[in-house]
Amino acid sequence: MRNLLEIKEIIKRIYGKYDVFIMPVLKLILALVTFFSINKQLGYMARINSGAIVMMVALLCSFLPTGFIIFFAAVFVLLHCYALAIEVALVVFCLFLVIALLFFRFSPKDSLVIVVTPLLFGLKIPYLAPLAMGLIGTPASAVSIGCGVVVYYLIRFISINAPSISAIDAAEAVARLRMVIDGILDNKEMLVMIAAFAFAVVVVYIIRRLSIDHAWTIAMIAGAFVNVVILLLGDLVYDINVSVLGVLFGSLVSLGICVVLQFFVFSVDYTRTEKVQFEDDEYYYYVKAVPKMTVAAPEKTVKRINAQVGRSTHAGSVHQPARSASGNRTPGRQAPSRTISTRDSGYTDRDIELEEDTDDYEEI
Amino acid sequence: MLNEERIILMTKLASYETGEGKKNAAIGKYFRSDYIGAQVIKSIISATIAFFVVFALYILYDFETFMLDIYKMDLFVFAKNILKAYAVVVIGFAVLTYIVYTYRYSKAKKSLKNYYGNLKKLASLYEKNKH
Repeated sequence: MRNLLEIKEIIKRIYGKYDVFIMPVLKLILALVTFFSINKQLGYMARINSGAIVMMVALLCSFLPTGFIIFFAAVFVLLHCYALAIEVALVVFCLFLVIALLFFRFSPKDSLVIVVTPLLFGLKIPYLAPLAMGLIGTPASAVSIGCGVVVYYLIRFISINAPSISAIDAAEAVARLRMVIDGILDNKEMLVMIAAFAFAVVVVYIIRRLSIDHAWTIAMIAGAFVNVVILLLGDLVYDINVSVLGVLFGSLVSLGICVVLQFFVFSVDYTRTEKVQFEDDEYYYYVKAVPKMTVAAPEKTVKRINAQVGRSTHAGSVHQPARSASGNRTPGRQAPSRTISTRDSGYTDRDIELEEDTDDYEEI
Repeated sequence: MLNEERIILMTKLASYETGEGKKNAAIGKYFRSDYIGAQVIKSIISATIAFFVVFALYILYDFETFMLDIYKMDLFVFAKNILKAYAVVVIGFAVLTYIVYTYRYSKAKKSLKNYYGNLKKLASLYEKNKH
């Protein structure tokens, strides 16, 4: 456990130092993965299939706000659909427009989920999306995940049915249109997924806010459980051919990833170095505010056991506080490590004091 | 002389101004009713466009039957049904917008109040230094 905590501190330190580079690189990776998967799934327009174009757009996304990844992903999908059949592009455009008008209207913070959810589907672990968003988001995140699910099934439908869509005579535009719309609306599997994910998000959110020990862990497990149960129920009722083993295994893997994410990402305050400028009547200030780094120094817990006649064991614990990198004592930042040490020793100071009091009372 | 306490406070304020505070300040410029009203109107416009897009797709989906039936059906009842659906969508979306933006406005105001409190504190630090 201590090693993990130290790794966490190291990650935090690296992030604090190099966040200027880390964020663009992460965005670049996400954009690359997104565009390449779109090209792999659809890829009907040869011109945007080339790696050079993907690389250029991804590089552009790396320094633009994250919303641009969504925008360019939508453009890629639309262009591929246009190359396949204009009717398909029309339906997809209408769907994206409605999502943009009704959902992005609220400029939600978790809008990136709409891109990440289909990618998770590709990795066979879509169950991670509701668990993670329940932990860091609000119940409203269910809407973003729902949109992501719709986008995934839309792309999958087009990718599977592309031959039959192009086989329909171009003169029968309405038939093509009807086929795509039917494909989206009649997809029971998609509806069951949306319902299961929405329930899972709400369950995870409610439980993680309860004031109980290990609320986050319980929330994750409960969320995964609810998810599996609803998917299997949906499978029974609508006969959607969900692979039971796939769901169970995917949920377990998602749960594992979620635990790792919770430890290294969600529960860590990645404060970064900030550079600000301001002035008053006397000075110009160019301030670089660097977050204080606490080194997770090994803590020592000393237990003194004095055996005295007529007295039961007298125990006390002395903590050696962690020191900050600069050598100064930083009371505010010691809190987490201190809690860990008391938990490890199984005693709290208060417990011990109470014990002493009872002993004295008995003697009197 | 450089005053450390003052610089720390100013740094915090400057970092707020460049980050979260930027959005909140933009919201704080409006009166509550103006801000929420404008957002609701924007939402009504978006909902209207979205409704017509879906409606157009609905008509296109069964275009041939629709064109055949258009002479037979009661257009008045048809229009009434469409209007009803439109009203439900727009009112529902407007109410949702009202709730979301009322919450956002009160949150931004609270955050700005804290910021102004810190500004006052800074001013008092300057006053203290003068005397």
